[in-house]
Amino acid sequence: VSPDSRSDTRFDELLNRAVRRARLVGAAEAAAIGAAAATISVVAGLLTALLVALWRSRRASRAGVVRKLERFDPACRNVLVTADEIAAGRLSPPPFVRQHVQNEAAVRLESIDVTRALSTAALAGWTGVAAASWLLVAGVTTWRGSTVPGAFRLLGRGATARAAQPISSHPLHVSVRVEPPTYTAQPPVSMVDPVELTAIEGSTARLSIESDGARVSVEHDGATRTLARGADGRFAVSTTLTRSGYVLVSADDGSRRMMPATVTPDALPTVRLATPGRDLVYDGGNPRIEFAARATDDFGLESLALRFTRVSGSGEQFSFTEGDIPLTITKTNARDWHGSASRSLADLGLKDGDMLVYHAEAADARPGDGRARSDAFFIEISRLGVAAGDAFSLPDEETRYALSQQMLIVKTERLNQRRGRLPVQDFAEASINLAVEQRMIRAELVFMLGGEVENEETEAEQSTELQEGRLANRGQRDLREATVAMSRVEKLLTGANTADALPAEHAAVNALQRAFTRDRYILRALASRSQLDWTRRLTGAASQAIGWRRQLADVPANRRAAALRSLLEGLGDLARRARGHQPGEADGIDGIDDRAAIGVLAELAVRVGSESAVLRQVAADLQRLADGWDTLAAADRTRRLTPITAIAALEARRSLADPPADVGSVR
Amino acid sequence: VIERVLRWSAVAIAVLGAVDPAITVVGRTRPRVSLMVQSGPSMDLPTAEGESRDAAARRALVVLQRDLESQFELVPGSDGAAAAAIVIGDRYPEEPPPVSQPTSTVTVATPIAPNVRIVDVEAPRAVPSDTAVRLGVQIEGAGVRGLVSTVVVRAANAEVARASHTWATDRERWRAVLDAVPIGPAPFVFEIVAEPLPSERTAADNRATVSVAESPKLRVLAFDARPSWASAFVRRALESDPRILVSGLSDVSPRVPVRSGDSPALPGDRLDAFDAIIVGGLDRLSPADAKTLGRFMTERGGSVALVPDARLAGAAVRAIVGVVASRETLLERASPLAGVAGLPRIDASELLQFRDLPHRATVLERAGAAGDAVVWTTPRGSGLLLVSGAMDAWRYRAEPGVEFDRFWRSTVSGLALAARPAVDVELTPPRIAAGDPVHVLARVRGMETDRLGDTLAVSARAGRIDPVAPLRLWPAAARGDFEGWFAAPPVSLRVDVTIGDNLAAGSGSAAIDNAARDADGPPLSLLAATRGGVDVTPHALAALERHLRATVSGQSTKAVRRPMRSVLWVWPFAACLSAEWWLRRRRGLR
Repeated sequence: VSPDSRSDTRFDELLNRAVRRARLVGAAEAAAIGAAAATISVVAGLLTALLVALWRSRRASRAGVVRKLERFDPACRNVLVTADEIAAGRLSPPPFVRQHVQNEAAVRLESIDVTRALSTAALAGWTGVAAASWLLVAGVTTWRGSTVPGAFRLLGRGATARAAQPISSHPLHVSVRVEPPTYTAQPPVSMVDPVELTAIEGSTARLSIESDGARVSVEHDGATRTLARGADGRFAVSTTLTRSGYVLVSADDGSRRMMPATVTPDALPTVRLATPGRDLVYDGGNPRIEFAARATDDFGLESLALRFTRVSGSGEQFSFTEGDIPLTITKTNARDWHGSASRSLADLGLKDGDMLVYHAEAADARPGDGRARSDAFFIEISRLGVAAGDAFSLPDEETRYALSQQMLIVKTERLNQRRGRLPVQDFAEASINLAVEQRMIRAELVFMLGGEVENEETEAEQSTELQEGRLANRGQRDLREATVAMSRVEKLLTGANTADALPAEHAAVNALQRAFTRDRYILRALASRSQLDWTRRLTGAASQAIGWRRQLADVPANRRAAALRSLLEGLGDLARRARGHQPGEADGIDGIDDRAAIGVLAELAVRVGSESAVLRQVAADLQRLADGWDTLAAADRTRRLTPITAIAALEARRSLADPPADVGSVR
Repeated sequence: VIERVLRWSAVAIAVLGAVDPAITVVGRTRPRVSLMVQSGPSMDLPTAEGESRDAAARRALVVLQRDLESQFELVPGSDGAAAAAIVIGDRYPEEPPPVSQPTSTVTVATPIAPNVRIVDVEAPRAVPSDTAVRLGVQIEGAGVRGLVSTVVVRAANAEVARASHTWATDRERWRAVLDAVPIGPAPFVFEIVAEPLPSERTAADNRATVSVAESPKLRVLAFDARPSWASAFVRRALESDPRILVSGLSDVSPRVPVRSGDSPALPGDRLDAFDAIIVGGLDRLSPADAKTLGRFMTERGGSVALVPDARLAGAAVRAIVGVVASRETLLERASPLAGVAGLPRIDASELLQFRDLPHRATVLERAGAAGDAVVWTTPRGSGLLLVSGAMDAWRYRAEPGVEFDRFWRSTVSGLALAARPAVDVELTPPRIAAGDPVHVLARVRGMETDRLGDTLAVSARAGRIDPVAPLRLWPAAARGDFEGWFAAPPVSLRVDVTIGDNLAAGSGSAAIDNAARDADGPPLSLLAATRGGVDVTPHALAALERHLRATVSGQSTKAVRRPMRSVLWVWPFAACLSAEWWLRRRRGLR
C-alpha cells in the first residue's frame, strides 16, 4: 500500500463516519418534526416527516457534510473541500500535491470534534416540541373527553349530524355470553363483537368489554349502567333479556357498539285432544271411550293431564265435580308427549242428563304458570239429543237457532216421506211432536233476543206492517218474519200438514240467516228493552240552550317518520360516499369516519323503534356493514348498502301518511 | 396625347360625379332558407347507425350547405323572414317556425332497440309534510321481451322506492306507480332511474328528475247541519292527522252549535279560510248554506265533500249536486267497495249508488268492479265536489282490512290540495332541461281578480332562490291569466308571483332534468306535415333538396344603382390629375 492510498483511505473513513452521523441526525430530526405535526393528523405528520427528510438529505450528503465541517473549523482553509474533490476525481493534481492535501485533510479531520460539528441540539429541540405537542393534545383530550387528535366532527349532515359527541374508531371489543334459562336446558352461546343478540326470553347476557376508555356504559332498553374496569382490565356486566330491544355499549373514548336484541318468548305448550276430538252424546248404555292427547313444547314438557268437570242434575239443581283422568304418558322426547286413557261411562260416573266437560292440560318447565289447555269437549247423556241425530257438536251461538230450524226441516222431510207407510194416528202424533219442537225453537229465539212471546194476533198485525214495509229496521223485520213463519209452521204441523209446513220452515230458516248476518241489527243504537220517556220530549227551555266548544286533543308530530327520513338521509349520504370511494383512498370526508357514521345510523335505526323487527334487522345489517367496511370495495359497499336502504325506506313509507288521492281535476 | 387623355378623363369623372347618373339593374335573387339544428341531451342518443343524433344532424347540415349553397342563401338559426326553413333534429321544437313559413325537416331520431326509456313522470306539484309522494312513471321497452326492468326512485342518494316489470311484448309501455319517501328539506327532488339492461343500446334515456314542493297544512271545515255519524267519523279521522287543521261546526239543534278548531264557521264572507269542507246531515242544509258552499266551490275554487247518511233529498242538496240519478241499496252484509288503484279500502252495506254522472266526473269507488259509482267527484266552477254514497262505511271502520281513516285522510288531502290557490303558477313543460324555454302561466283566481279589478298587476321573479331575477309576465287571453317565457337555469328553478300589494302570492318550482327533452311528444315530422314541407332521414336528403328547388325559387327584382356615388372614384380622379401633372413637369412645363 502506497502512502497515497493510506492517506486517502484515512480521509475517506473519517469523512464517511461524519456523513453517517449527519444522516442519522437528519432522519431523527425528520421523525421528531413529523411526530409534532402528527398531533394535527397522522397524514400531516407523515407528509411533514417525508419533506423534512428530503430537505435534510441534501445537507447530509458528502459535499454538504464537508461544507459544514469547513464552516465549523475555518482553519481548514478549504483543504477538506479540496481533498474531497480530489477523492471524487474532480481535481487531478500532481501526485505529490495530492499526497500533501490528503495528509493535511486527514490531520484536520481528525482534529475536528464531529459530535460538535454535527450537533444533535436541533434534534433535541424538535423532540421537545413533539413531546410538548402530544402532552398538550393529551391534556385537551382528557379535558374534553375526546380521544383522537384534532377536532373530530363526526357527521356533517342529515341524521348523522345529530350525533353530538365525537366517535372514535378505536377498537371496542365486546364478548357476549348468552345463557338461556336453565329450565330450557339450552347451552350458552358465546359471541365476540356480535352485530345482534338473539336469545330466549329470560336469558342472561354477560358482557365482557375490552376498551381503551376509562369508563364504559351499557344501555339496555333505555336503562344505562356505568361500568368500572375490573381487575382483569375488562369491563363486565350482566343483563337479563326479557323483551326485544337493544344493548348499546359506549366507552368514554367515544367508541360505541350497538347490538339489537331479538328476544324470543318461550311459547306455551301446544295441547290437542286427538281422540275423541269431538262432543259425544249418548242415550245411555256403557260404551268405552278412548282418550288420546298430544302435547308439544319448544323446550320441554313438565306435565300432561286430562282434566274434567262433571255436571249433574237438572233445572236449578246442578252439581259440579272436578277431577283428573290419569294418562299413560309416552315421551317421544322431552318436547313431544303422548297421553292415552280408556274409560267407560260407568267409570266416569255419568247417568242420564249428566254432562262431562273435559280438556287436556300440559305445562312446560318455566317458573310460574306455563300451563296450556286444549279445546274442551263434552260427553252428554241425553235421549233427546240422540233423537236429533248422532253425537253432534253444538253450533255457534249466532246460528244455532237457524241450524235447529234446519234440523226440524230434516225431520219434517223424513216424516213427510213416511206419510204413506205410517198409520194416520202415528203420523199425526209425530207431526204434533214436531210442532212442539218448533214452538220451543221459536220461544228460545224470541227469549234470546230479549223480546217476549206475543200472541198470534199481535204478530199478525205486525205481519201487515211488514207487508207495508213500515218497519225501517230490516234486521228486526227479518226476525219477525222468522217468528211469523215459525208460527205458521207450528199451525200446519199441528194439523199434520207436513207438505205445506216445509216451505214455511224454509222461509223461517232464510229469514233467520238474513237477520243474523246483518250486523246492524246487533249494532242498533237503542236496545229494544230501553224505552224513551216520550213525555219529557221537547219540554226543556230552548231559550237557555247554548252551544259549546269541543276541545281538540293535540296531535303529536310524526316523530317516527322524521327519524326514519333522517335515517334514510344518512344512508343516502353514505351511499354517495361509497360510490365515490376509490381504492386506497381514505374513508370519510371532512373528517367524517364512515365506520363511525354507520354505527350512528345503526343506533338511530334501533332507537327509532327497537320493537320493530325490521328496524332491528336494519341496525344489525348496518353494524355488520360497519365491521367489514374497511375491507370492502366501493361496488361491494354500494351493493350491501342498497338492500338496507330499501328496507329502511319501506319502514319509512309505512310511517308516512298515504299519498293524497287523485280526486280529479278542475282544469 | 396621353396628357390629354388623362386630363379629360379627370374632367369626365368630375362631370359624371356632379351629374350622378342612375342605372336600373334587373336580376333574380337567391331565396333565403333558414337552417336550424336542434340540440339537447336527447341528441346524444344513438341512431340506428350507432353514431349520435347530434353527429348525424351535423353531417346532414354539411351536406345541405354543400348542395344548396349555390342556389339558396342559407341562414343559420331561425329567421321568420326566410322563404323556407329546414329543421334538423329529433323532436317537435319548443318554438316552431311561423305557420306561414314552409318548413321541411330532417329527422335524426330512429327507434332504438333493444332499449328501455322513461317516457314521462307524473308527480304531484306539492304534498303535505310527512306524506308519501306517489309517482307515476311511464316506461317504454323496445326489443326487451322477456327481460325484467327495475325502476328505482332515489332521494338524496338514498333509494326510496322500487318496482319491477317483465316485458311481455317487443314494444310495450309500463306505468309504474311508486310511493316515494321524501327526504331532506323541500322541494323534494326525486331521481328516477330505469336500471339499464345489459343489452340496452343506450342508458341516456333511462333517467328523469322531478321536484315536489311541500304544501302548508291543509285547512278543513267539518260542517254538520245536524249530528251525523257518517260525517262525524270522517271528522275524527282528520282530527287525528297532524297535517290537517280541522275546524268543526255541528248544529245539534237550532241556536246550539258545537264548535271546535280555530275557525268554526261556515265561511260566508271568508271563503279563503278553508281548502275543503266536509258536509254532513245534508237533509238539514239551508238554502243559505247551499249558496255558501256553491260560492266556496265556484268562486274560491275550494273542494266540498258531501257525506250523506240517507238518500239525497231537499232543494239545498239538489242545488249543490245537480241532477244525478241515485238509488239506495242495502246489502246483506258489508262488502268492500271497488276503488281506484292505491286508495285504501272501505266497506259499506248501505249504499247510495249513482248513475248518469256529470260529464267530467271521476269515480273513486264503485259498488263492485263494474257497479255504479258510490264515491265520485266532479268539477264545480273552479272547485271540486265529492259525493260519498258509502253511508254506513263508518260502522266497519275497525273491521280487519278496512282502512276507513286512511281512506278519508288520503281523499280529503287530495281534495284540499286540489283547491285552487289565489295565484296558481304553472311551469310548462313540467320536466325542464337547462336552457330550455320555460312557459310561465300565472292564473289569478276570480275572487282576487274581481277584488283588484283594473288595478290587478303581477310581479314575478324567476331563477334559483338566490339570486332571483325579475320576470316579465304579460296578460294572456283569459281574464286573470299572465304568461311569460324565460330560459331554464342550470340547476333548479323557482318562480314566485305576487299580486296587488302582496295581497296574495304563488310559486311554482321544478327540478332541472337534462333528460327531459326526450319526453313523449309530437314527432318532428309533424312540423313538416303542418307547414307544407317534407320530412326526410339523413340518408334521403336528395328528396328534401328536390322539394326545396321545386317549391322555393328566387324572385326577379329591379335595382337602381348610382355608380358615381362611390368614393372609390377619388382614386382614378386623383391618379389622372397626378399623372397628367407629372408628364407635363417632365417635359419642363409647369
